[in-house]
Amino acid sequence: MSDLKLQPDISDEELIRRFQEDDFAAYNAIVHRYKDQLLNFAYRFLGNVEEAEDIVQETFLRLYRNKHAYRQIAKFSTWIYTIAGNLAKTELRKRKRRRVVSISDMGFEDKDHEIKDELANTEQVANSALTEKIIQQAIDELPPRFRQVIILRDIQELSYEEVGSILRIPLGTVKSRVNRARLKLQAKLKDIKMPAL
Amino acid sequence: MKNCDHYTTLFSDYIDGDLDDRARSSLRAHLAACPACAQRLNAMQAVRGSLAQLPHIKTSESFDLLLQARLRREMRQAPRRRPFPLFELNWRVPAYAAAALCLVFFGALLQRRSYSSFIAKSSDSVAMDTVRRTDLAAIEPGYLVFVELDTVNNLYRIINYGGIDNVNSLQDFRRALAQQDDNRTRTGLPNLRTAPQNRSVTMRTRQDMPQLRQAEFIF
Repeated sequence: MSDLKLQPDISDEELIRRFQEDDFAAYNAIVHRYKDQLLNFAYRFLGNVEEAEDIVQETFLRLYRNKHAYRQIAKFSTWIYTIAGNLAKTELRKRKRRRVVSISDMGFEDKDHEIKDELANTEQVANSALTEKIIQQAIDELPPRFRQVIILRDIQELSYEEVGSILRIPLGTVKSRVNRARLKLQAKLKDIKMPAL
Repeated sequence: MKNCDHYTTLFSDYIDGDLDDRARSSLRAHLAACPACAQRLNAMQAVRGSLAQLPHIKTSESFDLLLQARLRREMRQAPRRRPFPLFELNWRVPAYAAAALCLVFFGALLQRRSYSSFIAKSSDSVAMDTVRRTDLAAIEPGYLVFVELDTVNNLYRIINYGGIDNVNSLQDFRRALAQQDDNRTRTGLPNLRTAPQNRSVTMRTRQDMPQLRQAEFIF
């Protein structure tokens, strides 16, 4: 098991092929290889570590249950990102339904205040933790379709082709969506002076 | 002359180095004449740089433990979900049977222990070591075991145990542990992120019987 984990030269596709033949060590190697990547993807999408961990757990359970659904025509990485992305979007929808109740319990003053107070204090953004928080809040405010592309492209640093495969949208759409997402994010963060993280 | 809206659609390709020579020259000419677009492009580049530098987080230490537990449950449920007909009988059948027998045996073992008492050494730490080394040594990963130590009469017994398989998410797991906080001395909730495995996570003293200590083990 540990041997497989420490062999980066074995491709993902080879690992999933072995797992499809009931090699559980290959499954563990996939988990070891992808758990942190997927966690970061889900965390940046949802903004909550525990929810993100649950999404990643569920992703690996789906992989376990549906290992034969994977076909070698696609890259394994895009396949597993697609599973995690769909689960994260579902979680976001559930959360919105839950939030309808909580926001309706709030007064108008509460609704207005949220992030803007912090964004207004542009000169006081001094440490990296706060910068990260502000960037995360700006990401959270993006519509999900823009949020996904910017996380995959600019945080996970995947290629446009990979992003297109994961989201199942054409390359041209990925590019224009990334551009619009960057513009939106830049507009939200325009008053912030970014110190190094 | 093309307007600013047109040029902003080229920003990403420009940053990524994907513009052809003609489009790049045209954009550069526009940027030289339009400070607003130039500033916007600089800001976009800065934001992109900050995104790439965001810190990467790692899964918690309990992540693998919980995933393994959920997989074990998945494996146990798999035959129920898809009962295989006779013509599919193969080596898996005896394997499933052996696994089921092991589970029954293991469950019965713990059940029997849950009503037994064992003689232990006098101090808590010695008793705990004895528990770990002997009676609990055979417990497979994925169980929470609650042990009561009678420090006066030098006895201990397993008072309860539970499979962590019975939780659906990390949040459930933590919530379930938090709810066990009824009569625990306030030494803090067990922290699964930092708790070393195969060690007692917490000790508690019973209010009504101070000579008794209760300990939780996570396997």
